[in-house]
Amino acid sequence: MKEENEITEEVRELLDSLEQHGANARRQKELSDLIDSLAAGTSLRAKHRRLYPIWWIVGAAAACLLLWLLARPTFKETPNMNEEILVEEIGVKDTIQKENETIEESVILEEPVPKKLLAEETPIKTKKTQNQSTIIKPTPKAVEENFVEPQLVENTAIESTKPEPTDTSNIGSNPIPNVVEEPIAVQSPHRRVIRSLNLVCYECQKEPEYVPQAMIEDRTIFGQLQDPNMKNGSWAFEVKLY
Amino acid sequence: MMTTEEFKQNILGLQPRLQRTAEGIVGDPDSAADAVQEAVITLWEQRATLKAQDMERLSLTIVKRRSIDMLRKQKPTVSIDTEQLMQWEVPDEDPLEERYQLARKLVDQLPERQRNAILMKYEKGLSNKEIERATGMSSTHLYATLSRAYKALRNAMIQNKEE
Repeated sequence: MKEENEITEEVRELLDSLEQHGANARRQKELSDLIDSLAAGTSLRAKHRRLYPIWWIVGAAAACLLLWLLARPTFKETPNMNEEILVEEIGVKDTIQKENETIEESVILEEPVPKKLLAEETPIKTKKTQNQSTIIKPTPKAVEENFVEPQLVENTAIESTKPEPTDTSNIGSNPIPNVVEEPIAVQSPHRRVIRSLNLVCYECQKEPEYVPQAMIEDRTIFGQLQDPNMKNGSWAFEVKLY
Repeated sequence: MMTTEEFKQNILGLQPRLQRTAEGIVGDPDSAADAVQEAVITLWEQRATLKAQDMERLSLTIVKRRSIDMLRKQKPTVSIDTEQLMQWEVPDEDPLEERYQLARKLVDQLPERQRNAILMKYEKGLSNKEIERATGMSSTHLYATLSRAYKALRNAMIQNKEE
């Protein structure tokens, strides 16, 4: 019985040695795989090292693009501003041209007002006064020589400032319309234009025969499109400010 | 600089000794295997300046240090004589090698089915289910085959002793 047990024990030891040998073989295999992976890792790192210069270029390009994108909004703003300035300049040019014409024809033109200068009650300052100062107040000699001209100028002005009520097709086509005003002789001193509302108010002792149409713009002060009916003149506003 | 193949050959040749050294310090074969792997990684990083003749000494030193560190982590309250452990040397020859050779000789004498079952179970480390799947035997059949294999090995041992 003892001998059998010993043999069984010896067989177990033999089998253990087999097991250990097998485990050792597996460990060797793992170690071999580890060395292979280490070698692959270093070769991969070497490949990455080769790629570094390319990544540097790509990175620099991306940084430049980012900077350009960041700087772009400031560029975007300037054209709008230029547009505004251009509009104003065009307006000024128009007025200068008109002014020259008015000097000749004595047609009184209103100063162009920039689009965004709204929501203020501004009394109208016509060029009339300036024109008068330049035209009506000549030197004594000039008065004698051009004595007839001012009267003629006034007469023509009155005629020209009387627009036909039926002809309203061109209203609104010009972004900054130059409203042809009545001469100062016809205008009452209390007349006010509320530009924000496109309204004209008259306070006259003698009521005018014709109420000039309000200045209509394409868009409201809130940036919405105007009612097309407004352009046809079916909507006429008259506000009296007391 | 040592090539990958040279490095692998040297390490795999040293692996049994390194494993035994680590196992002698740590006491656990799996922890010892971990210590050996860590040592191999350290050696791989130093392979640029590594010479083949220094490899055995250096690898043994690294494995011992790793094993002592592991032992410290496993048993922080136990005092460890580092000097003594560093001086400790495992025998070059594997004491299990002789027994393994005998076992292999006896197993090879077994019938093919029994031999395969024994080698799969012990050398390859497969479970009974895996062996059943690999050989197509039922569990009862495998159990009977293994029993017969043990009996045959015992008889072979008796015969071997008598010789």
